[in-house]
Amino acid sequence: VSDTSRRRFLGSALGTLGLAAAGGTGYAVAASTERTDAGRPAAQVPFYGAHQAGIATPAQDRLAFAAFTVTTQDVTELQQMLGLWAAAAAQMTKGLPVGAVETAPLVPPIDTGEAYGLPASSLTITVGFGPSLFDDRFGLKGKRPAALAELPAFPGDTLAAERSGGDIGVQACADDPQVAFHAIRNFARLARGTAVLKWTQLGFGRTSSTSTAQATPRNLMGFKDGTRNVKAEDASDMDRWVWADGSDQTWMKGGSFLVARRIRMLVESWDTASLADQEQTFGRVKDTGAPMGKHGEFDRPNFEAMPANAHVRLAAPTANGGAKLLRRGYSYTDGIDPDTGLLDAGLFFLAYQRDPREQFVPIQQRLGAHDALNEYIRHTGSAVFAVPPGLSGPGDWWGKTLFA
Amino acid sequence: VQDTKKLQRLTATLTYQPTELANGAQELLDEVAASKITGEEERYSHIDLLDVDFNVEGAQQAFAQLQPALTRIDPVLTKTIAARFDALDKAVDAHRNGEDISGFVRYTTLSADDKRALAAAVKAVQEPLSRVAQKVASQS
Repeated sequence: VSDTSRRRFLGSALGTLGLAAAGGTGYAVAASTERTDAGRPAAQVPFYGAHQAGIATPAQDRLAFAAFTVTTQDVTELQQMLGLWAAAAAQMTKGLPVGAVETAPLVPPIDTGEAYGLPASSLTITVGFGPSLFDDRFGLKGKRPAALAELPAFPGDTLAAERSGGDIGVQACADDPQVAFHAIRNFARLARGTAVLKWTQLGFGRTSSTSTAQATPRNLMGFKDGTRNVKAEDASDMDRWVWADGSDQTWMKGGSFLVARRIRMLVESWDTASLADQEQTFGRVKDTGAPMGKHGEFDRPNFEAMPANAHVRLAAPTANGGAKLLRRGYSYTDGIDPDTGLLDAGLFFLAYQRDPREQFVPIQQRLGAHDALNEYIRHTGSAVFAVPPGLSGPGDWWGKTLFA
Repeated sequence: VQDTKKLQRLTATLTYQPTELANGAQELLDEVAASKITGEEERYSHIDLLDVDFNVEGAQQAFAQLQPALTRIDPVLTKTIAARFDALDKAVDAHRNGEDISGFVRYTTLSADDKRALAAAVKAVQEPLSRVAQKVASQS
């Protein structure tokens, strides 16, 4: 892309916001000095499309997630930030810096620089809006989808306020952790004065396969979980269980709802449980991942062969009126619990769905009350976001139709 | 008194380069962000908010010197910085307390949320302020 078309691109991104000039109020995102490398590794996920990337995209290996609190009271500043984010994301998902890394000596570089020279690494940046954004501040009260209800309290919840909620959620996934972190860091920088980080979470390894081309990874308990995940190739499942139809709020048509739960695993306790206990807790064979009493991972489970409170049995669609989720979680570790010296590690659960009230909520009510796994896990953080549809092209931004 | 007068006479004729003013303002805010927000400077007296107030005021005065010229170079940027300084002032003023000798509540009484709000207000000024030195340098 030539300099001039890049400038035009930025102009259109900001022009739609009714801004006179980018210079004063934001960065010169996508400034003229970036490189236009050919021959990078092909791992680029298209940023524009009917749906946001990072949902049906085959789950990348690494995650950086951030929840933001909007601090400005000025809706124009918020829109401007979302526009700058979109322009920056279009750059970063191509493996390009958000602006010049080498600038004039007296001014800080526009891009923070740590991903400079790294390939796009399948970076996707997925943005959603939390229930708290739809209060009195920005005139969005009447635009809140019914499905974006605050999650109810579940049995066994031990949520920390400082790891929960947020006006805006940003999921950055990539095959390189530095690339994912770079995206979150630059978003936080572009937000300065408009929004602040509320909490962040890094995930070091995917726990889900969202494509039939991917093998099911193991979680930190050493089990394959999520074998029967919704797969991107199954269009009817995607339409039935993942993509929102926008029936009550048209701006959400083609979007999805994201539930995030930070689930700490008491791994030291788990490690002292016998193999038989572990397998009965999950309802799967540890080695092969096969359902209990079966041989292959993808064999049809015989639920009667499992204890009534086995995880797989309780979470199965048949136990939940057919309801399925597209799970896209990551293993995390955040050092040790200072009080006990035990590892603070587990699953950062992410699930996309059409309506949490009919999917995540009833499933978790059942799991929270009965799941044999509860002895070994604690839900320590929680958030829900309405993830709007994809951006159509340069000039479009997250929530453009929401604010229209 | 003699010394003070001498100092006043000397400083009155001192002139700073525009880039020095811009960088000086930034450094004063850096001090706030890097050490004062953490409460480590006044570990015993806990009057950090008074220090914060001094630094913010100093940064604001340096910026005020540049403002007329900067307004001609980049009016939007100038307005943004001025508005964010106002917001920072408000965030600091929220902790004033006439009964304390420092004029502010003791730093130890601030909640984590209070400190985060202060730090965010400082950063909100610093980000656009960091682009000023280049602007004024290229014009001088």
